[in-house]
Amino acid sequence: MQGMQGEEERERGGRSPGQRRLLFWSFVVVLLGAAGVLLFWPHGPLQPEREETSTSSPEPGKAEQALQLYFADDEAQNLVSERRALPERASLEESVEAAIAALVAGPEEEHHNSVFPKEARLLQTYYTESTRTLFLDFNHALVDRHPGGSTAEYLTLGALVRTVAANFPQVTRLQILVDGQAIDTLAGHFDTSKPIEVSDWQ
Amino acid sequence: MKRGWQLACALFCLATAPAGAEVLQVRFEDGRPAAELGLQRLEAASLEWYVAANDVVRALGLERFWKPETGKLVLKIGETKLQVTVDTRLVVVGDDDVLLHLPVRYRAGSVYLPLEFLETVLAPAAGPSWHFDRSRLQLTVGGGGADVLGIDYETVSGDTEVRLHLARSFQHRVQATSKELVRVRLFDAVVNPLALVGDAPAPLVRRLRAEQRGSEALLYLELEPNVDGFDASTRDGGRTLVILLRRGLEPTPQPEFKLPETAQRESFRPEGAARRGCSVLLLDAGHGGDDAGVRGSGLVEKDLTLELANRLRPQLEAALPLRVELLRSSDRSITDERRAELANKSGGDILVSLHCNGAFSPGASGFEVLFVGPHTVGNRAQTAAAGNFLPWQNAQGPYATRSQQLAQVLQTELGKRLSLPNRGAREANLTFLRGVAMPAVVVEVGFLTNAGEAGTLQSPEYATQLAAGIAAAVQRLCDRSAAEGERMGWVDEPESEAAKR
Repeated sequence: MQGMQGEEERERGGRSPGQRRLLFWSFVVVLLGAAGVLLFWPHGPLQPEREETSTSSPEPGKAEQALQLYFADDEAQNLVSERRALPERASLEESVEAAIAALVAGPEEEHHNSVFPKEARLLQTYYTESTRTLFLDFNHALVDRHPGGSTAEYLTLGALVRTVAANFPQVTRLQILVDGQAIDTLAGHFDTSKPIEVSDWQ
Repeated sequence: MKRGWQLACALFCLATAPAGAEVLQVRFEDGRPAAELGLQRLEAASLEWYVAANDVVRALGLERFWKPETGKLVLKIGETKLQVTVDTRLVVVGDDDVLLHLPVRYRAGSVYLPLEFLETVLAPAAGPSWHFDRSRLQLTVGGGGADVLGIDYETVSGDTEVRLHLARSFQHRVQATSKELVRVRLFDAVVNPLALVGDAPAPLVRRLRAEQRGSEALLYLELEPNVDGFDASTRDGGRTLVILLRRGLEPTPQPEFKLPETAQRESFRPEGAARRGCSVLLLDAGHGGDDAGVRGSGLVEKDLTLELANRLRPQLEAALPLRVELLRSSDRSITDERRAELANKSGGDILVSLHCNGAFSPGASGFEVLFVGPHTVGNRAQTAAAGNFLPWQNAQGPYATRSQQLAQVLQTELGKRLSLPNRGAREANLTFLRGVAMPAVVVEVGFLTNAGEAGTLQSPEYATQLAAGIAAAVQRLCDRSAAEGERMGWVDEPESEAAKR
């Protein structure tokens, strides 16, 4: 019977048991390999899609801080806020610089508008604890590339002060500098020669 | 090496300093007795003398405002304000800055001024009739070279003839800048501001002030409310300038009008029936000169506001029983402080400042009216009143409520006439308006950054609609003010009134 069965199987499959074992283990190896590729491929379909919410994406494994940034609405009537996750920084100054860089880079949500000239750059940041004053030293593009008008000026200052107030509550006064010097005004309407009291703009 | 130079300089100064000189002689050429001011050396690294500010104030009869919180001291000589700050070298002289070699100091409850302050700031500010002689440590005041020799008066049937005695005949102009202020300009003349200043120098004249401004001698006659008008003439070949002040009806006594305590001041008092309402509307063309304002759609804000102001002026004068004056009639730079000063000295009753708006979003559109409201200046005005010192930037305080009313009425009236969206009336802490001592608003007439809107702003029809809206709003505010028996603005400077009390 066995001989007949063997004959029949040879006739059906045409493979010996040794060949079948080899085929089976080959299949297992290919399966495991495919699973491994699917599991560990960096942007594989099994990874949930990460939300791109920040201009500088946090590095994997690094702590993040949630920041609230302010921009203008389409009609330039009101300030509107966006939340961003940025890598946590070691010092207040570095955190402020990251927040301002994101503010200058502009909004990501629809119907939100910039409040800073794109060319504006924060050159340096200082914080004096005794007076709780934050000094923000910008390049000249902050003034030169500003569109002007009391509305644009108000929104720039308002967004800046409210962004600082929302994320760095220890700051009570904010002094804007341009190329290291205090400026009388950004666009001719509001006084920036002296530190701005954060509470006045809340 | 550096120390060696310092030592050599110190020895040189010591050698050239007057021996035993520890007082500054102040000599008055108008006959007043001379005064001596004690001098001290406060800086270890310098041989410069210091003099106590209080001694200077007393000897020279200057007005003085001291704010201990900020260490700022303002001395007023004639109409010129000199502001120093303790431990700094910067002196603000009117619109200009002067940097001293040594800082102002505060010792044992007194502010001390380096002697160079008297030499390079105070004496030049007083005019050519003052002379500082460092080698003799002597300050000579007045008399010498002054062209206005004196003032007297005569009462004729209730009217007052004020006579200014001049050294010679001068080209002059006598002008009423408001109903209570007459300004006399003498061209190429010298005046000693201190020799002539005084309260009630003649009937119908509350106060006389004088100022040397460049080559012009300026005299201001502050008049009593019952002066009905004046005539100016000359006698003695031009060497006597006669100003005849005509007495009008006595004002009807009015019940005392009380301002909120935060803003009460002597100069803001009820006026008689004859003084009610408003007579001068100031129109300000925003920005100017180096300050271009918004640029958009091929247009520049400073040009457009000037063009608008020139278009609006005749239309407003035709529609209102008021005189309309422009704060800026050419393309020139004016700082916020100077603009506010011009407004306050012009004797205006209401100020409307024209601006064009700008935004990052090109779709932003519409007009809006801005004002410095009671919330913005309230607390600061209270603080200032408590310290008897009203800083310039809080001059708007007593008018903030009126400004708010004007802004609200104006946005309503403009909303009825303009085709652009009405963005409303907003409170904003605008630097310029804070120094203005009268109801004042900024009208943002539209967005230059909106290409569609920029064309509208240039059209004569838009100017006509703007004029109609402004005229209606100003009329409503003036009517309300007249009904409440209140005058709109004042021409005195806030500090001088605060200092009187």
